[in-house]
This record gives sequence, structure tokens and C-alpha cells, in this order.
Amino acid sequence: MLDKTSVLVCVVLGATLSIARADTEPEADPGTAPHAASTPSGDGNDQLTLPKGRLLLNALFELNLSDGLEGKPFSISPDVWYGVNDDLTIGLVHTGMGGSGFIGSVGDSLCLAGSSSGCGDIYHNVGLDVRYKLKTGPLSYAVDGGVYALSLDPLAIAVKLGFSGRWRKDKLAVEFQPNVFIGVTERDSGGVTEIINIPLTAYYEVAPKIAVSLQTGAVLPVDNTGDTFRIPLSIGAHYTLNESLNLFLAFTFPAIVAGTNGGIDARTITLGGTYAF
Amino acid sequence: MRSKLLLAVVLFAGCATPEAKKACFPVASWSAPMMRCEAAAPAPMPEVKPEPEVKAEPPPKAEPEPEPAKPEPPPKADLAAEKIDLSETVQFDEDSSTLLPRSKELLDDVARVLTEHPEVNKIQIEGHTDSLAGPKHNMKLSKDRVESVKAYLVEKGVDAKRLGTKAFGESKPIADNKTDEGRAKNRRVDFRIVKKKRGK
Repeated sequence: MLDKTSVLVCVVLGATLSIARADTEPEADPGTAPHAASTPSGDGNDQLTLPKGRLLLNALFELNLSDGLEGKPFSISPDVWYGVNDDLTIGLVHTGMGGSGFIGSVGDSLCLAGSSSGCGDIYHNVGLDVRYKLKTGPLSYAVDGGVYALSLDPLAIAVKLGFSGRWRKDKLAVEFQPNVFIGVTERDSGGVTEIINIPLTAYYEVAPKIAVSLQTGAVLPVDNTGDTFRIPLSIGAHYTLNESLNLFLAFTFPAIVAGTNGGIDARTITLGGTYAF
Repeated sequence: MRSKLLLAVVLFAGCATPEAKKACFPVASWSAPMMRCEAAAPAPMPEVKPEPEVKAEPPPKAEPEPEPAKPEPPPKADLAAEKIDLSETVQFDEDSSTLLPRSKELLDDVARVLTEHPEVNKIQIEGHTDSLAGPKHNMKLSKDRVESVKAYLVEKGVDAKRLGTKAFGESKPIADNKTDEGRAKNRRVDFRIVKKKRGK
């Protein structure tokens, strides 16, 4: 228990220290901030990796809204990404968004609702992700892979292989992130065998700092696909607060269409922030 | 062990190297890390020749001087013997012939130089790219870009007959194409004087 508590303290302390550090920097000239490049249709070149030395924190508050299960579970999940060089970025990933590419998962580390409310351990999944930039610009793409512990007890390890692409024109952007998770351990008892994720997201800038998004795609477990596949649907709103911080809200049907029973009445809501140091 | 690992990573967030804080910003996206970066930084200013030594001036008079006029920004383009020297590089949207706004200001200076120097009968606008993408693509891209530059200068009042164009694609690099910095230098537009009235 002490171990879990110390993990939580570390996260909060570290994030606080980092943000405080950023706050002490002199404010940007009002004439230059917020920069147009931080808005979806702004000038500049898109890239799916970080510049060398930059660090990015994604923090998601995820809440189950399914009928009768409101708040069971809920989780606060951080992803931390670091630009090793201008081409290579590594990430310590806890969210479904950072792993599979789908927004709207719930119960990822840190799952805070307690075991009686749908959480097992507080800290029960983590992944090390690596992204390599192939192209920047209006059409940008990168290859992506990693090693994920989908469960720490028992230890279910999976390897991820994927691709991330983004195309934008004027106020519209589309992202495509197919990936496959290949189970390495615990394939037959709680882990995964193979799962193909195909997230597809469209964004539209409705105002200089505001965008709306729609995400769908398919989650295709290779075993018994016809019965186990699902198609999620998320709608989201994004707000660019300043050059470093973006906020977003997403409402998700994780399985609006699914195998066997034709869909599950599940709903989640995600409140997230992306802060670049 | 787990907590130590996480502590190290999270505290590391406070240590992002400040000098690496380039003009890149997170973009509204669920594919994070997703950044938008300004185009490559302009090339360094050309070396300034030392000016001849000037004798020390007498001490200033006590009476108040009239308010100095606002200093004009230094010109970004100057006429040299065989070319027009630029203090920055002409830049475009990536993989596109669309000029970035600040490069339009640079080309305004090029147009000014050509207007002030009618003795320069003709210049050649030469376009170069880095070696990313294929040679064929790069040749077309550099051709589109020099045409874009020519069109802008004509729009600014320069006689089209004074402007020739030549695209080189990736064939004439001036720096290492293996590095970002080198590629930025290779993506360039040069203005070479090909015809000039004698005696000027």
C-alpha cells in the first residue's frame, strides 16, 4: 500500500514541480501569444514526434458513465513523452489514447475508484512507447511501437507495432493510427493474443482556439473476431488555452457496434489536458 | 522499484532543456505527441565586414538633442557583385510552393533592391531543395518554388523580363543532408545576377 501511495505522491509532486517551474518563466509578449501555430489551422509543419529535449504530459481524467455504473471506475492517467532527438520520441504511457489510439477508455492507471468500484490495483498497466518520425508537413506520419504491460498482476506483456498519420488542410485534420498488440505472456489467461486497433479521428476548427472532433474506427481481436470486435464512437471538443496547454473533453460510446450482441450500452467521459514543457 | 521509475520520469518533467524549447506547440489532437513547429530557423546572418576605424568623436554637447528618428530595420537583401545577398532564407510551407509570410517581407526587400538598381538587367532565381523525397519530386518542387518567387516579385512591380528561373532540385547541396540543420541550409533560393550594365 505504501508503494502505491508513494507512486501517487510522486506523480502529483512531479507534475506540480514541473508546472511551477514553467510558471516562473517570463510571460510571452502579448503580441505573440498565443501563437497561431498552436491552433489547428495555424501555420507551420505538423509532426507526430517531439523536438529534441521537449517533454509533453498528457493527463486524462476518465469516468465511466454507463447506466448504473456511474463513476465505477474512474481514473486519472498520465502519459509522459520525451523527444530523444528530432526524430525519436519515447513515452511512458498509461492511457488508452496513448496506447491503442482510442480515447474513452476508463480504469487505466491510476485507477482510483477502489476495488469495489471496478478498479483492481491502482497502478496496474503501463507501456513504454517509441515513435519515429518519417515525415512532417501537412501530411505527417511516423512509425510507432512499444512494449506494454497490459496487466501487472499477472504480468501480461504485449508488443505494439503501429503507424500514426495526420493530414490537414485549412480547418480540417484527419488522423489515422492503426496498430496491433501482440500478446507475449499470459496469452491464454487474462492477457491478449492479438488485437488490431484502427482509430480514425477527424478534427474541425470552429474558432481560432476551438476545435471539435469525431473519432471512430475498429477494435478487432484476432481470435473470434466476429464475436469480439467493437466499433467505438467519440465526440470531443478541444480548447487551446495557450502555446503550451490544450484541453479537451470527450464523450465516448466504447462499443456502439459490437460482435455477438450488437453493441453494449457503455458510455464514458474523458477530460484531458496536454502540456508541453 | 515501480515508484522509483515513475518518480524519475515525472521529476524529469521539470528538467526539459530550456535551450531546446523551439517554436513548436502542442496541437489539439488525440494522437499526442502531436506538435506543430514553425519552419526551420532562418540561416545565420552573413558575416559582417569590419568597418574602417573611426576617429573618436568629440564629447557630446550638453544641450538636448532632438528626438532621434525611429531606426529603420536593417535591409534583409543587399546587392553584391554577383548576387543578391540575403540575411535570411526564403521559406515555404513544407512540401509546398506557398511562401511563408516572413519570406514575403524578405522578397519585398529583394524587389526594393531590384528597383533601386536598374543597372541589374537580369537575375536568375535558383531553387534548391534538401534530399528528402525523390529527385524527381524535388526538381518539381524547386521549379514550383522559383516560379512562386518570380510571381511574387512581379506582383511587387519587378519587370518579369528581368527575372529568369532555374530549378536544381537536390543536385547542388551546400550542407550535409543527413542533419536537420544541413537540410535547412539546402532548402534555399538564390538570386544570381546574370546580366548587368557595364560601369555600374
